[in-house]
Order: sequence, then structure tokens, then C-alpha cells
Amino acid sequence: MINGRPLYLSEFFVSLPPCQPFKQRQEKEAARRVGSNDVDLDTASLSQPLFALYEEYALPYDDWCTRLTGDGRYAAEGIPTAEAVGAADLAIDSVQKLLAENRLKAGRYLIYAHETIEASLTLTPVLKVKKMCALKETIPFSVSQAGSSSFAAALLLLDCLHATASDDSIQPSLIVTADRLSPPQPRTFFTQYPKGDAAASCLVLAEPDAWEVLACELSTRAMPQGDPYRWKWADFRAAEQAMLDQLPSSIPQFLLNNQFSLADIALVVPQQHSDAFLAHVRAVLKSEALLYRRKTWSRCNLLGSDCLVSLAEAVSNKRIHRHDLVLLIQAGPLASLGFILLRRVT
Amino acid sequence: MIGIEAMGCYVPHHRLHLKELQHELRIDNRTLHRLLWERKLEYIAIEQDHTAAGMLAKAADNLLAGKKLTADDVGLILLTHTLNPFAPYLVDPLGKWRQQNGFADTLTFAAAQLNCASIHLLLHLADRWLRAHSQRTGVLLLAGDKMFIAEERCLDDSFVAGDAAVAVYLSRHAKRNRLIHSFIVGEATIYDGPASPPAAYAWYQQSFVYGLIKMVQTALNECRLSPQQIRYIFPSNLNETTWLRVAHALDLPHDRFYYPTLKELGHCHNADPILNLARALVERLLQPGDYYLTLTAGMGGTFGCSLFQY
Repeated sequence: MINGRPLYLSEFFVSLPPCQPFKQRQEKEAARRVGSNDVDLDTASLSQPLFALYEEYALPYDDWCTRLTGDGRYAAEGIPTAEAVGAADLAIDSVQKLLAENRLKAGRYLIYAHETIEASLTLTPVLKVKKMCALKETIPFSVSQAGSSSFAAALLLLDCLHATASDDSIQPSLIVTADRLSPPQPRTFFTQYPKGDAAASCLVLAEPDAWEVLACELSTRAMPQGDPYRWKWADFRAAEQAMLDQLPSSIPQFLLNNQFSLADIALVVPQQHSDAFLAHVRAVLKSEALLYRRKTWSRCNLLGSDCLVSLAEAVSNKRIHRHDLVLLIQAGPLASLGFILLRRVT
Repeated sequence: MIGIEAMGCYVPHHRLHLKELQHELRIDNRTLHRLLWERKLEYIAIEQDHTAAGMLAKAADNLLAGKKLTADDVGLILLTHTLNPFAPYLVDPLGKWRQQNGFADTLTFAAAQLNCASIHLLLHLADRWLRAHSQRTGVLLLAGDKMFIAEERCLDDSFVAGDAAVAVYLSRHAKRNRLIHSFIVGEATIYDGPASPPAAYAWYQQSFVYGLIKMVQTALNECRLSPQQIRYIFPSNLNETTWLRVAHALDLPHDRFYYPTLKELGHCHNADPILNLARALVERLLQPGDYYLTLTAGMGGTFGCSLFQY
């Protein structure tokens, strides 16, 4: 990492709500939406801020489940969906497990990495996590607007903060990724896998732990196609192709920049983004590196937590051995790409 | 030296007097009187045409109008906001602006949730990012909010939110406004604003001024300066009562706190200290060598303070 200063990650702790078939979930949310449309948005209350936000941006939300759900090919897929809790609650569950396992009571920074928005005008999720996890001396803040690569963005920031810290600042920091798609945020988008709710957390340390971070890179390219809620199929295909077209050059280049090649990588853990994305990653890897496909919810995108949940599963299934190099590829939902190269230490 | 090289502000033309907003804000006469005569609020800036994302783009345009920047000058774009529902999921708030201005490939993301102290989070992160990446020239910071649910503009009898956005170019080669240090604190006294349990919310309302005082004292102690060496403090437009109390506690004359936009615009979240600083620069209130602070407090016990030298 920066100036050769090493950065390590602990094991990941995930929080996943119960699983439901996607179709069933979709019907519930659509029913809720019908109820919501009875609300006069001119007098939108604190309980309806996301609908008011969509109204403010003049976005369609009344028929999102027909406009954006593709062709229903994922109706039978199981996806973890939080019913009564928000993303911050999933994050708290994950961080509490992390702290208990590591017997830790404080950290330098707590970064709440997310891409979806909580359905509240008053809630500050990272403050809730800090308060409920009793992280008294910790500086909390969030990272977002990096798509599903928010973990990579958080890691890049912590690398800077770590590299420029005075000695008293090298205590561990925490990153927690957390997302929940409260309506009217769409769970589906054209042919992409349906999106599930999840959280995952880890410590970021200066001392050796489960993983050494060898490199991290993030791309947040602005798309020329404009507002995704008004895309037609041609816009979606063009945007998707632009993202896919980056893979054949950007994956080998990222590795080359860090003096590695695909042949050095034991396992590639990609975002469970879409069939097209996984096929393109597989084509780039050829037979040089193994691609890890998550066994649970293999056609469900867990957004910022997706690769981390997959990685935790791969560790649990003993697919990774000491000194193995693992490449995480965080992607989407539209244009962002995050590469994180890890070496298994323990 | 790392410092502010350029700024751009966007404030909507439309302003309403608090008396005109009384019905919409659902405030009684007593609250109105208090906001006007104790808190010293008067007019509120209200955006009618643009979204919050559009306001950020306008502020960035205004910055570029005064200082031409290319992708080589901007290694990172960081944006922030107070309201967590800021831009809908899947919407890239700066995508169009980046496409139009040559920053399509510039690394861009948001850092937030220190609420109205998040502008100092950006300054803190950008400063450290520039120190860590010696080959990079500058960071573009954007902060703005629009209160899109009109009746939520007023928080008790404490403040009334206005709409505004600012852009700041933090450069490694700044000629003025050297950033000496940025401090941030997030106490999480409460995490759900006015929806918190009443006792916790009351405690927060009573105690946050002490957090502000402590923030300034920490900043000055760590930079080995006395309060009297600070020429100006450019704070958030919270309300006059708060700044009178902080000035008194720090044994500073109240006129060291410069916030002329409070009366004109209301509390424009993270834009406030930059709007007040920009006004001071237009009015040539700072002399070379002057130290000044920007100072903010946000809901939940979040505080930010940056020390600059002009």
C-alpha cells in the first residue's frame, strides 16, 4: 500500500437477514407501494423521505417493479431481505460479532460504507453503529456514491489516514459495509441479479492479521447515458458493455501494476452482479486463475457486502490456504469497479 | 503548501422571510419571535429549480468560472451532504457535470454522516490524501443540501435550514488560505436527531455547545495558539445564541465570529462556513498572516474545526 506501509484485515463478519424468494418479496414491496401512493407527497412526512426524494428528482417510482425488473428470470431466486430492521441494524449485528471475536472496545475510525439509503430523514447510520457498539473514542463517518465498491473506497481512505498518521493513530479501524433496499429503491435492474440486504465488517490494522492488503484500486467512471431510471434497453446494454469492456485490460493491468499476474492468483472473488459480468470475468481469467462462485444466493447481488460475504464463505469452505493471493472484484451496480488484492496470512 | 486555492458558491435567488414561512413551517408566534429576535434568523434561501445534485454542479461551475481546472489538477472529487436521503439510489449526482467538464474518469465518491460537520471531514480527508499522494495536485470538495421536505426546515426553535452548495479546490500549491490542520469529532450523543428519545435529545441540545467549545480549545492547543491569535472564526449558521455562548466561554469578542449569511440564507448545512469565509474574502477582512478557523457542529454531537492561515 502507500509508501510500502503494510495494511492488514481481520476475518470478515457478516450479517444476513432471512432469505425469501424474490418474487414473494417483490409482491410485498409492490403492495406496500400501492399503500404509499395514497400519501400526499406534498405533505410527505418523516416516514416517507425516500418517496419524497424520488419525487424531488422527478423519478418514476409508481411502476418501478414492471419498468426495472427485467423479464422475471430471477423470480424463484432466494434473496436475503430485511423486514423489520434497517441497514444500520445489520451493520450493528456484524460489528458486534467482530468486536466480540477480537475482544476490541475501540477503534481509530469507523467507516460505514454503503450505496443504498435508509428510509429516514433523521437517522445517521454510522452514529447509530458507533453508539450501539460503544465505540467511544472512534471517529465515525460514511463512504458512499462509489456503487458496490464502497469497501474499496473506504480502504483507500484508511490507507491514506494510516500512511499519514502519527504513531498514536495506528490502532485498528473498522469498516462495515451495509445496505438495505427500502422501497422505492429497486431490487432489480434489467438483467442484473436481484439485490439482497446484507452487512459485513472487518478490522483494518497495521499489525499482521488474517489478510494482508497488497493493493487496492477504484474506478468511478461517469456514464454518458444519464439517469438510469429512464434508460431503455439500448442505454442499459451500452452502459453494461462499457463496464464489461474495461475488464480484459483493467484486471491484468491492476495485477501488473503490482508486480503480479493472473497465474499468481489462487482465487478470484467477483461481485455476483449478473450472468454477463461473471461470463466476462471468466473469459478474462481463462484457465489461469480460479473464479469463486458463491454457493449461497449465487444469483443475488449483496452490493457492497457481496464480495466480502463470498470471501467469508470461501474461507469457511477451506477454499483458501495460507499465502494464497485472492483478488476481489467489486462491480456495479452501474459503472464502478474496485479491485482488492489480498494475501492470506493465517 | 496545502490550502484553499479557489471556491465557488451557489445560493438560490429565491428568499423568503421567516414570517412568510411561518405557516409552512408550522411554527407558533412564540417560536417565530424567538427565531427572529434571539436566534437572529431572518431570510431563508429556498431552491426552486435544481435538485441538491444540481446545486452541487452549479457551485462547481462557479468555481471553474474563476479558476480553470483540468483532470490533471483534480486527483479526487469528494462530496458531502447532511441529509442522508441526498440523491436516489443509482443516480450519480455528479455524473453529468463530470462528463461535461472533463472529469468523467476522476475518482469520485462521497464521505459524510458527520452531519453538518461533514465539510471538515472532507477537509480532513483531502488534506491527508494530498499528504499521502505527493504526485497529486489537488482535491475538489463539494458540499450542499436542499431541504426537499419543506415543513422539515425548522428544527424546534433552534434553526431554520436554507438551501446552498459550495465547491472548494484544495490544492498542494495554494497561494493563500493555508490549511494548517483539520479536526473532527463524532460523539454520537444521539443518532436519530429529533426522533431520539426525548431525554437524550434534550441532553444533546443542552450539551452540544460544550462540545463546540472543547473542539476550538483542542484545535488551538494542538496548534499552540491562543484564542486571541485568531482573527476570525467562520462558523455554521446555527443561530446567534450558540455563538454568543461559545465566544463568551472562549473569552473572545463576539465579533470575532463572522456569519453574515445567517440572516440572509438560514442554516445551509455544510455550506455555511465556506459561504461566510467567501464573504469575508470579498470584503477583504483578512490580512496576510491572519489565522482563522472554520467551525461546525452537527446533529448527534459531531464537530469539525479547521485552522487556516491567510
